[in-house]
Amino acid sequence: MAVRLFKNKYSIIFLTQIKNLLAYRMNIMLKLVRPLLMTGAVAALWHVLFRIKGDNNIGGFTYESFIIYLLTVRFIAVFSPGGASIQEMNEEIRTGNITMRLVRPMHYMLWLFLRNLPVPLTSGVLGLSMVALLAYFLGADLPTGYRSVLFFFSVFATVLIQYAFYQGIGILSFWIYEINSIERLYKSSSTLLSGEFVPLALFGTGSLFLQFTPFAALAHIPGTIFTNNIVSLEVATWQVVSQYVWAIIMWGGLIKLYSMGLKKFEAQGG
Amino acid sequence: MSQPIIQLNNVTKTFKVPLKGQGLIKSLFIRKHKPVDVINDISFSVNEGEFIGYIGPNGAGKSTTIKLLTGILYPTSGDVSVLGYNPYEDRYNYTYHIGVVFGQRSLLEFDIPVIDSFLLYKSIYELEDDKYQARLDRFTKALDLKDLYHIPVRKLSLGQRMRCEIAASLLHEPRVIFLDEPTIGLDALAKQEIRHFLKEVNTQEQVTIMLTTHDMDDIETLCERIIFINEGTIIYDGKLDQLKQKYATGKDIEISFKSQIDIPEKLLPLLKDVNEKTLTYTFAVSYSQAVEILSKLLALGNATDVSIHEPDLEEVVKLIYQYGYNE
Repeated sequence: MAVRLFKNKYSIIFLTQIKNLLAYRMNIMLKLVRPLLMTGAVAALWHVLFRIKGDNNIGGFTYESFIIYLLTVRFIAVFSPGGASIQEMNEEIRTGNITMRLVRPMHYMLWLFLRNLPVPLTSGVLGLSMVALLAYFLGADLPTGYRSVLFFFSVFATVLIQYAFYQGIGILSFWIYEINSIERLYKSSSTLLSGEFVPLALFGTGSLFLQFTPFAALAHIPGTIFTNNIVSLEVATWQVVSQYVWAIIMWGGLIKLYSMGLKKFEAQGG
Repeated sequence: MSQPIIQLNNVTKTFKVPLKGQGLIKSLFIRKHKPVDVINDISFSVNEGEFIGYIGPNGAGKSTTIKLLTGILYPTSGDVSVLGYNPYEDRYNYTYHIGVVFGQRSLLEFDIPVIDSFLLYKSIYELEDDKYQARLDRFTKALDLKDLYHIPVRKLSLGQRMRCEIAASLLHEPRVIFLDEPTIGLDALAKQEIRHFLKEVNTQEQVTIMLTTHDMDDIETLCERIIFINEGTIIYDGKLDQLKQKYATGKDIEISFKSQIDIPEKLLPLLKDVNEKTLTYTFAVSYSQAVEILSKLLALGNATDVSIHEPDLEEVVKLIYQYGYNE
């Protein structure tokens, strides 16, 4: 069974791309630097807020757990190959090169996902390892036991949902050739609604609703599980379940959208 | 008698072309489109083992037909069937049995060495080790690929890349191959090698091949039957020889002389071209006149060279492009 899985065409696509990792090592390093710089900027802002408040607790977060939270959600975002595959898909549809993918016995979206996964996966694992190490030295409450299992499942669901968002935008290239503005709109919305910079719990009365949207699945849920800023393990479990419900809905929509896009596809000329 | 394995019945493909001139503000909100039939109610069938030349001017609908046959595009109306599959409805299973080469696009992965692309193909088509190795050895020898294995695709010349593309498209032993301008941009030697290889595959493996090209030498060397498409409609489907005979109403006699000659008045209407420098005269004559006119020209004395040309396919095609096809 294991040998068959290893020899599966999709694993070979993934492994072939792993071979290419060396060519993209600079890309991996840069993917690590960017979240660090962004976290630094946001952390500085929160540092000021904590000083103004004069208390090391805002909405249940200490300043240290805040830093760990910000770093965690930043590196979880790195895991998804969405950014690279959105560009690739847009380019292939615009130029008509997608035709070369369609004449092979492969599922195009799965191929695109696996092809673009190795670099973000490596950067994400390296990044999260750094965060875990930092959290350990800061004496943070690292996930263990059931919480670590929840965290793992939550991160996996985050990758699926984030990829679905990105790929949905990529598929729009069948109708709209220029999708950069839509991608930027999505990024701005997700920054605000996912809890990437401001944990959703701090939004007050609306936060409960926000915690069950697909955006919360991108940062808030895995971030709070990692830093142990959860209401209870039971609530966190339901939040992870909600992530998978969103993943199923979004991937279903994605497959439908893709099939509509293929019917719309007009690759004119040789 | 072999069975048709490619069948198109009353196939139409309509593209929507955006209309211009609606005004800047209006076009921001509402964009009007005009339907254009790129393929207009075409029907044909191809038997197993045939080598078909699918020709026509730019924009005639050749590549669109190939995309319909490979399952990339959905027909607006009509039925397409290849090897019993509906290419667009069952694309995944269907593509195990076809090979495709688009001369202006690449099947191979650009950043990795050629052999890694082949291995990727082996996995994608789920080929067994011994079968893959046997095919690879054969193509390596026939297309001289050995020295190219470890070079990343992006560093190959066009001719080298095309040899690799063709090998990649055949590794999985497809029963039908679609070639869309496979010799575009290649030098004469590279073209010749590829033609020779394709002919060999067609005859030895009984693979059905459909070729689109603007190079009439490709067609004359490889195809017995041609399908001529123009403005989305098939205007000729038949033997290559028959088309040439239909348009070839006569021959050209080209004769050179040592010194200036006086051409008899009777022959002047047949004079097609004169090269004053080389004193070469070209006469367009009908088949029945050819021998008589040639004797008269030789009788003028001091002829240094004579050649007789049948109009080639290139000329026939040019005539059809210019004046259209007459039944």
